[in-house]
Amino acid sequence: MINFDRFSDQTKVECFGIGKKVLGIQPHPEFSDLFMIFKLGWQLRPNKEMLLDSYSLLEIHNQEMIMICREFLKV
Amino acid sequence: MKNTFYFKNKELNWSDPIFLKYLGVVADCYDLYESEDSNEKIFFLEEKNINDIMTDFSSCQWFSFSQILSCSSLLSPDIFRLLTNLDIKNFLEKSSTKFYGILNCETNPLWNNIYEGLYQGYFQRSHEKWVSFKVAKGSFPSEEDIRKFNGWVVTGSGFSTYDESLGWLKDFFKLLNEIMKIKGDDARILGICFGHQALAKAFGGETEKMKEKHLMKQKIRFTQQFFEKDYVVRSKIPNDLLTNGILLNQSHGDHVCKLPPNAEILGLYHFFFLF
Repeated sequence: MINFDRFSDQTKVECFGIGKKVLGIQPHPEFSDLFMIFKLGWQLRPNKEMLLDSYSLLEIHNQEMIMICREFLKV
Repeated sequence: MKNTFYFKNKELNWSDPIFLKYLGVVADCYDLYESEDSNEKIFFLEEKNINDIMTDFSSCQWFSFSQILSCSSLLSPDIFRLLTNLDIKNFLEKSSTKFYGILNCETNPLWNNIYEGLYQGYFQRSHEKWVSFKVAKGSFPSEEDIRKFNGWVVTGSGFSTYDESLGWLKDFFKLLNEIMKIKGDDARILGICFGHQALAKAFGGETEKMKEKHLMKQKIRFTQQFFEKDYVVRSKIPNDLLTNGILLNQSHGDHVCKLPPNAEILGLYHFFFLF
């Protein structure tokens, strides 16, 4: 179920910046686990039960990334 | 004649006659003593009762907050603090409205609302006004908006940044460059998912389709340059958390394969959990 380095040749740039003016983030800090469960459950209906059991086990750090985004936006 | 004000034996740096208009109000809670010689009129403000000093402008009974605000730029920091117990610099910084724009790159009405709701919900602070521009539907901010707005957030989208059949994309990339040109060092553009890819593409990088779509939790590891960014330092997130990498939700089928020439990589993929 857990895949390490399966796509190691892709998505190397998860976050980039240009000075203090531009910040690009590939992941979604605004998507909570609950939101993802809804989104995944909607898209992957056959795996829904497995998904609901396992998705919330690992805690995400979206609040930390949101704080960084908020600080970035301050002028 | 010079007017000099003293409060608690400290001279207040104030000589504008407008202040006299407010002295009557202040005199309700402070005794005012005057002394005069040929060149200088000296006022001494002395507290009648320490309990009467305002600690919160909302409890102010003697004058309206707008009255203080109307002359806040003329009041010395000492007088302003005396009237409101607030630091004027801090106060003015907080009270001035800042404008932020959401550059919504989605056309699906459900996702339009989701992105706008989530971004505003998570990023908006009390003194900010957030406005959405549905750029994928051709609604672009004007040059006046660009000058007025303090920052921009580019949303996610089901579109691809390399899709040349999308008429609005070329204009959108031009807009992002225009923001950078007009705002200079004050430009702030945050891009998330599609927004991240659009920023890369607009400023000279490349994006491409991935072998498989990523719908997962993914751990991001940050580079040294990330830790040196002032906004990361200001966020006060414990460094040990960031150095171990952070886990975030992913949902994308395209990615940035080449950075713009002047960009620096701040986060790399570490590993992910696929469900």
